[in-house]
Amino acid sequence: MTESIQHSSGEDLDIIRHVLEGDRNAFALLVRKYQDKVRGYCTNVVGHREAAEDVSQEVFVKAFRALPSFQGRSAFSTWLYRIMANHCRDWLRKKGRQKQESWEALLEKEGDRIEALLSVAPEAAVSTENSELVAKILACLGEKHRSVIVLRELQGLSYEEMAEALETTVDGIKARLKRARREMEEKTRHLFGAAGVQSGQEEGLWTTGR
Amino acid sequence: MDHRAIKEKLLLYPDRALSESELSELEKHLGGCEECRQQLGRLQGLSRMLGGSAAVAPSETFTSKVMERIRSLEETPRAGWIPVLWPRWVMPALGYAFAVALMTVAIAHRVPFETGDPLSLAGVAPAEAWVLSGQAPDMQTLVGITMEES
Repeated sequence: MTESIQHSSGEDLDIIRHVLEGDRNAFALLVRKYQDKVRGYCTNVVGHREAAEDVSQEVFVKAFRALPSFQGRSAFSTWLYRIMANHCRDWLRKKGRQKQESWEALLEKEGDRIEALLSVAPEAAVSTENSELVAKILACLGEKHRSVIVLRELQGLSYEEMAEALETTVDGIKARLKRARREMEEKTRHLFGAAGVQSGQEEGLWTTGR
Repeated sequence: MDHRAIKEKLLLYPDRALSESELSELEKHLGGCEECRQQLGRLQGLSRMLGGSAAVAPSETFTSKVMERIRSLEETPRAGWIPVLWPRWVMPALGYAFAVALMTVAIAHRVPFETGDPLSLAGVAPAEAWVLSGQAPDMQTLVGITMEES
């Protein structure tokens, strides 16, 4: 481990030092710390709940094998997210021929549920069933759009962290986010209806919440 | 900012990353533009829906399974694993170099293309060719043979 590791959190660096000194079991601490984030991203990007568990495990195995090359120029979490994003993209490319459910087919089956989900408060929407529905909605987006939406909206990463994870620039991230949101907004536009906009009016949304 | 530019800015509004001046312009425009208000409402609705999605909990045995995979990697060398001692481009480069060498040798040892009389190239003496044509039956003989057959 080099002195250049200064941007990562001290806790992560201590664990990494132990792992590299031969205490392989210490890596389990990093797995426990980041498993929720990795599992959440993989589930929403891969789109298959069962496959996502396996893909998430592979992400950590890859990270373990690449650990000696970790330079610490960025936080360990960002480095791990880069491995995660690359692995999910590669997995999707390999499985590219698998048929994904189209947006039209999803609307036909789950249109009412999607409409209901868009009109309720976030705390009321939190449930495993709704999360599965969100994953299905995201699966209708292209991989590039899906990855930025998940990192920003579900994982709460900053533009800078996203740029590092997806190996692009902040401007590139902004442009991709705009395209992704435009696609989602156009797809769901007719599902909001008058009720959704009215509730927004009551909340005073266009005072922009400052 | 015009209407089109505002619509672009709105797409980044859910991130709360716009400057004070951009937000002021946005508010001013939104006050008089129903279309942009609707768009903002939809974007915020989507953001709420996504942000409210419950975290997907990994299985209880997730960590132990990862550690098990790591241990198995260390214990058993990968099947068919061959140490890579050179960069990836070396083998294709060697292939191209061999092909070029083979072409060079072929060009250096090629038989020169000869021009001239095709008969002499085929090893037929010109005199013999004339003799053969001289022995060919004339037209009258050929007509006679045809008449006899019919």
